[in-house]
Amino acid sequence: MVSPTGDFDVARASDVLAAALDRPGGAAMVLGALGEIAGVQFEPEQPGKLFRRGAPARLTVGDWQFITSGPADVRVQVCHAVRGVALQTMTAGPAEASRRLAEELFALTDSGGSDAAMQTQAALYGIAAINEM
Amino acid sequence: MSQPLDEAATARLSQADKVFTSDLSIDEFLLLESVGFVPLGLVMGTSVYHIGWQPQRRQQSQELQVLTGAMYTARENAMGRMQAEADALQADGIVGVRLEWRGHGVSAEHIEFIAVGTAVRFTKSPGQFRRPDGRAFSSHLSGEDLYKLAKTGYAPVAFVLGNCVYHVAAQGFLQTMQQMGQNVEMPQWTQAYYDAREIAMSRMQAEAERDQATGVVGVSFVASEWVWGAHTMEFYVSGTAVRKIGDAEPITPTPVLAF
Repeated sequence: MVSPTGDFDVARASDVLAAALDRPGGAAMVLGALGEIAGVQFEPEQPGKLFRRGAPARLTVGDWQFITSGPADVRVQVCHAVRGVALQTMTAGPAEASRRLAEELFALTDSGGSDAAMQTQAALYGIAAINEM
Repeated sequence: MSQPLDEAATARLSQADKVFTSDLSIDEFLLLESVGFVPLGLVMGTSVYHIGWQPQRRQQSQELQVLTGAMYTARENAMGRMQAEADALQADGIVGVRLEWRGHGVSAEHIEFIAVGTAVRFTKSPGQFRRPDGRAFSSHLSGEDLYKLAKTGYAPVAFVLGNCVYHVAAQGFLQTMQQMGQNVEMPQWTQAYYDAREIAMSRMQAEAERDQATGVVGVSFVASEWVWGAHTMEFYVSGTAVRKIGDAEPITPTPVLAF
């Protein structure tokens, strides 16, 4: 997802992510694939137990958290949390969520060094390949 | 993310094309009209909130995130409802936003936040002053300040705020004895107040960045004890996020001779 000028292509990354999020189970796949990037925090889905409530998968990139809404739900909970306090929480469709996610990935690659940039590119190309299957 | 409007608010706002209401002074009204803004109506949102409780360690300075979240949410609820009224009027912005509070009366832990402002439309080019996401801007700036801001080529984006509820550690008996009668700085209070204000500022700046603003003007600080006692305070900071939309026009003062 590199533009002709060699920069991170936010629009193209957003399109790839939106196409993946729009598939059933796509949100969990996208968050899991991006969870391997250095500087990103990923908490996998925790199934509920007798005395413990389950927790959906959660990806934290910068000040933004992306939380799955359910296996059949293509929407994603997008939360702007600064220093542990949620300033804004919204339920976003694939287009809106992917745009925010792409912007945060761009910010991460811009400041996170070559490792983060390479891992982001690898994850996005992997997601693009799954989209074409 | 526009919220559904209350029935009474819908009925009132439906009259806005017949008669406008505003809390603008005559000077503000005149100046705003001269740059192309007309008032549409007074818009308002409220939230009555119960301030919760969070365990705190007496000897530890730390942010109380549950309380910070509650105080933030109450204000955002009021602001969101005001914004929804402005969006229903298809306003380009809200000027003179005031975010105030009052005790609810039943209990000290109950407070009401109220956000009020005047919704305006930019008649010269409707939509030009809206936020990058297409919603009405909000600003705590007065009509006079907005007039001057427009002349500098900047547009308001959003009323932004940040807060932090912080518990300051109680100092030990030995330290209290050592500073008795002395001119001496109290480092844990200095550090705690400094940290809390910095956290509040960082949240306000994050809001401005999220709304694609390039700066924040008219920032003000408030520290309140609310109901938690002297060791736990809320630091609140607010301002108007702005972005550049054009070139500055030189302001030419007009000489006035008073007889």
